[in-house]
Amino acid sequence: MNIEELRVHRELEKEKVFKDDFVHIKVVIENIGRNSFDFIEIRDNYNPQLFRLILGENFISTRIGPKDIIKFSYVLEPKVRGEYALGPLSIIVKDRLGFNSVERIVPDSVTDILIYPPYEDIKRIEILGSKRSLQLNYGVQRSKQKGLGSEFYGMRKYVFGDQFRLIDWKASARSQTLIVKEYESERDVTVMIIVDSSDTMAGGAIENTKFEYAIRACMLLTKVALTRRDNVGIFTFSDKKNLKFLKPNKGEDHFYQVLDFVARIKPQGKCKFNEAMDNFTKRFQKRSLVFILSDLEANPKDITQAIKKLVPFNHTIIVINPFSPWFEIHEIDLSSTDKALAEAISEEMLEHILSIRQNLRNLGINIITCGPDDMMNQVLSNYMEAKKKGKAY
Amino acid sequence: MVRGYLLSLKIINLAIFAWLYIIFLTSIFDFNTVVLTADNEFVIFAFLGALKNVFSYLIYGLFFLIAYGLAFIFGGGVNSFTFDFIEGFFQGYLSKWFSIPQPELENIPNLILSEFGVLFNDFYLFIFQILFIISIFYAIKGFFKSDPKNSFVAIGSIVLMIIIPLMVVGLRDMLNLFLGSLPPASRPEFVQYIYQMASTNPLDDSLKQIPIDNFFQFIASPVILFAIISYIYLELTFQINYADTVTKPSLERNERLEAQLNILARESHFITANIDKIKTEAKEKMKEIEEEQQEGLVVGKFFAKTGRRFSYVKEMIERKKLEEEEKKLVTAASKTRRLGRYIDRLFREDSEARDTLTASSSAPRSRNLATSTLFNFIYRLGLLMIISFIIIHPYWFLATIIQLPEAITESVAIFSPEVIIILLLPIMLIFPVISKLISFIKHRNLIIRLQQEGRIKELLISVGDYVIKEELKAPLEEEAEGVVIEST
Repeated sequence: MNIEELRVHRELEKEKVFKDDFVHIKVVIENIGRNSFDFIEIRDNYNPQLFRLILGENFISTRIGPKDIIKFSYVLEPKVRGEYALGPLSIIVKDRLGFNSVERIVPDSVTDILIYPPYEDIKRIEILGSKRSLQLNYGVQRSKQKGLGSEFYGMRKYVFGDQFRLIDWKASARSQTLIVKEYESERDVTVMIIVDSSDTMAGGAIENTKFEYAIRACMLLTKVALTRRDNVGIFTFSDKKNLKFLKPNKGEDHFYQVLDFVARIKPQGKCKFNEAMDNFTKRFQKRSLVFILSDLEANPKDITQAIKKLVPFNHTIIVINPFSPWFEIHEIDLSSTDKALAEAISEEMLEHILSIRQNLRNLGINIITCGPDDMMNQVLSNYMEAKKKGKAY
Repeated sequence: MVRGYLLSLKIINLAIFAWLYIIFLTSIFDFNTVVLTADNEFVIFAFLGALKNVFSYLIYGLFFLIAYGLAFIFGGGVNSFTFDFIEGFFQGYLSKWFSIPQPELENIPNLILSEFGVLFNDFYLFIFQILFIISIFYAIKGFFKSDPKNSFVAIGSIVLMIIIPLMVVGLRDMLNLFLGSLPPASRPEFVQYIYQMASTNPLDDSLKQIPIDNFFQFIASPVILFAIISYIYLELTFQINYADTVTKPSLERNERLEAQLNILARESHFITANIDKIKTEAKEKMKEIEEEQQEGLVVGKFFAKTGRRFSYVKEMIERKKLEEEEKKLVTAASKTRRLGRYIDRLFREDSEARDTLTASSSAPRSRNLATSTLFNFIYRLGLLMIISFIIIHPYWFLATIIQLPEAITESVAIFSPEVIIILLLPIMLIFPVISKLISFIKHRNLIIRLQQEGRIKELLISVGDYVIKEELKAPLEEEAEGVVIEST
């Protein structure tokens, strides 16, 4: 029984996958030796907290003949966004009567798999987009100015000084007055999404943490903003070691860059608002629409000071605050003690948020506190509102 | 195919067991001697009769004693009339009820002892019948269940049917050495029982005569043939067990997965066909929930209604409960449909995906199994026969292979038990030595590999549990250190 004669490897259908999507994993076992293995057990390990086995089995017990190849596969569903490892593969070889066995882990049998946030929200937006509901909104925006652009804006009566080439002769003939066409000139808005990636954001059920919602909101916002040809940049922060920045950009490709970027972020480290904003202002100064997604679980003074640092750059700042207790109560059947505890925490947290809100109101910044049910709506509606009002351009 | 192979193996094995029994009953064991007693009575009835008699004598004696006791207490001493009445009553009436001869009270212990002798002998014979039934029962059970334990019990029972008479006869021969000079009547009671048991020897005399000079005669002798067939039976049992163990998971997986895939395809089509209905139902339910929401459960209103803060968590939980049920239904439907579509696409794009998922291609083929079984079987059987022959008849081995001088090979001492044991020892030690060697090599290889692959820990970390343990350990250690520092 020379276990070294067994070659085992894993084949992944794709190495990047959306959360809640499926991934087909194939394990190939090859016996390169001249002897058969009477009894082998191959197990492909995965973390059940991160993946759900949907179809097939991640192990096999069988025999393998000389120079033979056998394959088995299974389908997993990623439960959590992030970059995780699949594996390692382990082999157990036993003799025919089960008296002797050898076990080992296959070297280099760990494969990294990148789990994107769920595509569900994006898909919904795409469906809406396909119904032109997004394009219909263009007309009511003030982010685009009348001028020499290519997009048609509207019509109006001719006034002295208008260029003749803008006169719509057909419309003029119909109305018996001179009518000119107006075009809108494109102006980019830069949307900066600042996401708090401190460990407090990871509270609650692993699949539905504040951070996960924040990432989903971030993706949604990116998708919508990119569809509207805005520039989108991301900045994630916790402590000094965990400051990540993705330059604002536009276009379809940029969306995938954002996906890749957010998929790799893990909520870790203490929330150091001040240091994070210092770093951000050093890296980015252009006036923009800034969304801050944070549970604001830090010293209220620090938070106020930190956000104050953004004010001189004339950003339009919107703070979206996922309210911790509502995200962390994930168990439905709470005992009466737990419920009382949840209420007490809720009350304390509320006081904390209200004090920050009071401080920021003086700076003209509003905090939008939301629960898991309305977070996406809040983010989207605030973006729309800002665009309508023509902020941050 | 594999199932057919397994069934045919089981039938062959059962036939081998029948063959084994035929050899056993025709050449080794005379079953008639254990079925009937010396009085041509069935052993089972004789045994039960003796048992009944022992208890009858016991009860009779007990009643007799009680009656005497009562008469003595209430009769005010020795009264011949009372005693005559009791004896008349017991011997004339009760003894008839118990169907025993009319015994005097003082005869009862002897009667019980003599019945014990009969019972002992009948029980000895009865044991063989029980063993016979056990062996047949377990052989049949072994046919239906491939657990080797059943075959072991079946063979063990047959072997016991040989060992028990050998032991009894051996015991008698040993007792003969010490008590042979005594007349039979003056020997202790239990010795007499053993002599009585040993007088019925169901084993054939051929058991003692093994032709050891000729290999073929040696193999054809009933005892060796019995031993070889027993081995074949057990070997085949293990092969069946192996084939079953190695094929069962694959077959079961195949069946399970095929069933799952069929259900998935069916459900997926059903949901696709009824998606509008499901959506409408879900929408209606969601509307109801939304209506409830509008009654003041909007998150934003939470801050406005400070007086209701405390009840908000409760309400939210209640609402979640409602939503969960609805969500589950819709999510399950959409997931099934999504999975159905995914699997369809997967099977279209990857032609071997179905085979790998069900692992139908990885199930061992019956042809390969049969070849390997046959090869292993012949190899081990041949080895067993040769080793058996060498052990029992070392002359050829010593003269031809080891080439000892004739003075040794022709000596009488070469056939003495001591020499046979000396020869047996290395053969007996072969297996423990080999297993030790394997374990040593395995251990050494493991150490070398662990040294070469320093990444093992990293690999384990990525699995999960290991990380948690490690992570937990570190802060605990830090805390412990902290405590030590503080206390010092």
